[in-house]
Amino acid sequence: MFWIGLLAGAAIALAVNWLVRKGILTKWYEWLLAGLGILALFATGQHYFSSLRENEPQSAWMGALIFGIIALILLGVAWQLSVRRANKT
Amino acid sequence: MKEFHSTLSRRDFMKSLGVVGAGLGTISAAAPVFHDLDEVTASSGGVQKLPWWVKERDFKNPSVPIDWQNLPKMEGTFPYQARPTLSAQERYAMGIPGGSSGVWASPEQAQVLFDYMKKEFPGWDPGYAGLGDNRTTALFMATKFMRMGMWPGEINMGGKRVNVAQAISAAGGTATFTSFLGLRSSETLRPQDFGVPRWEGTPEENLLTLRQVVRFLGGCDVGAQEMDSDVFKLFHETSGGKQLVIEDVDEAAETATKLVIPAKAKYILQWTARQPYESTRRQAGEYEDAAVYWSYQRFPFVGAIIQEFIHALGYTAVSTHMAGYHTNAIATLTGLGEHCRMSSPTLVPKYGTTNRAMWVIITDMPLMATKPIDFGVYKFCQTCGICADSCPFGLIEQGDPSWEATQPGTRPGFNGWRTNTTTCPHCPVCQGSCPFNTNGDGSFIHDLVRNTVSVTPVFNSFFANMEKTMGYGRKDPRDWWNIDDYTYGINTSY
Repeated sequence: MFWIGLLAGAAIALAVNWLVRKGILTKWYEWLLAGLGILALFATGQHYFSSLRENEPQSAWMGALIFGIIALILLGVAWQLSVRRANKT
Repeated sequence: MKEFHSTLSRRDFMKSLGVVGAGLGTISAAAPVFHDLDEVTASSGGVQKLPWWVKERDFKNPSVPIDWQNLPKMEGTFPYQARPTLSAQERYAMGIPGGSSGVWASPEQAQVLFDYMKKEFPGWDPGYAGLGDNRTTALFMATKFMRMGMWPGEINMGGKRVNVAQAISAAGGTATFTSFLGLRSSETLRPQDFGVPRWEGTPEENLLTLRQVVRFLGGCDVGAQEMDSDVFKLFHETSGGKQLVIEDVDEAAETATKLVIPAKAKYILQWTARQPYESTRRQAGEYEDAAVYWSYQRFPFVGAIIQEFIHALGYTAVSTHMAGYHTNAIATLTGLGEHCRMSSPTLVPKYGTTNRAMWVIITDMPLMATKPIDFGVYKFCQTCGICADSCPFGLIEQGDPSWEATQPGTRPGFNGWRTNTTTCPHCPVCQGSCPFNTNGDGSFIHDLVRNTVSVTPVFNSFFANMEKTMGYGRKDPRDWWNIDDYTYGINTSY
């Protein structure tokens, strides 16, 4: 848990740093969508690995699919909103 | 490096600190506050360690409605179907294996179960004893020894065959090592034997003490109630053919016709014992398997030792052990679980219906009462019905709960479900089918679902459907031999 948190924090810090360097402006709702997307990503990982640990392979795959798709949609939308605004200006 | 700068200004940093501080202050103001340890232990959660999504109710007001005025006391003899008469070898010869000692199913019921298992687990075979493959069968056979506290029949001793049960009977003993008065071994010395005072704790300390002992010996949790005339209705008129009575006497007694509880023994301790989880949901064949019998091997012994501990402490402890009271009804009062559709087991918060049993000891050791609990099960069962759908014989009731004694040998007076135990062959199916079954390793969604169910019934149907969609529930018995299971099959960290 500690290492996952550390890696996730480092990845987020790098992403934020990259945004700042590129001068990409962001809105509050893009941060919200990205935050929810990251939570969905954690949910995907937690559900998948812990379901395998509790000997529930079908639940592992189905849950990973459901949470994974949600994560991809949220992160994708947040990213595209920022990038498209940056390209317009 | 000289281009590096923080995106956060000092002003924004201080503002964030302030927001976080205000948030923490709000949370701590809203959180339950205990001023000292007595308050912690005074709430049932302090002793029973209930999950955060479990709510408490008032005493004698469980989630299953009970009409205390009209609830009858039961006689104590219950109708069960007759045991099979053909031997296991005869059943094997006729092509419907089964019938080894301890099982219940008739050949017709066994065939229904074999067809059910073959559909559930393609390629499954009943084997030579109707219990599955050789390894599974051997494990079942091995775990029958001294189940239910019974002295064994014929066993090997020093190269000779000796019938232990017969020998004990000939010496004036009974069929089990457990007894109403407890072991009271000649080796057990009490404070009274030395003229020293016995341990005296507060009711909370006493219950905590017994919880510690229960868990040390292999049990799980405890609940307690003070015995009044309502609670005594949940004890039967007779146990083992003897009248179970409360009398104003100093000492408990067992005579040829009576089991006497002294009036001063007005506290009941109930303790729970979990069944090995993974093997429970992999039971297959004509009967419950080793997961059940191993539990019944261990726990009567544990119960006798708990009773002996209370005796060694200097108190009275009597118990009718496997009979003499309606376990599940008492459990709804002592906060150990809720009444559920499956009705034979109590549904416990963390482990669903994989708790094996709950035993009751009656004592004069003052015990803090624990309240009934509510985590949405009674409502959930009304829309779920997975166990009723899974029963191969349709013996678990479909539909709404009822106040009437809808099944043979059951009682009216509570608005619940009743199972027809007169024709139930104790098959392996229902126990592993409940959506509330978990062992603690799993996904975060289990706690999320249970918290939601505890608060609102709006999503109950959706959750019941997702249970099936996600493939939870019973698993292939053949897989058990390859999984990395816990000691005793129980995750004691959960």
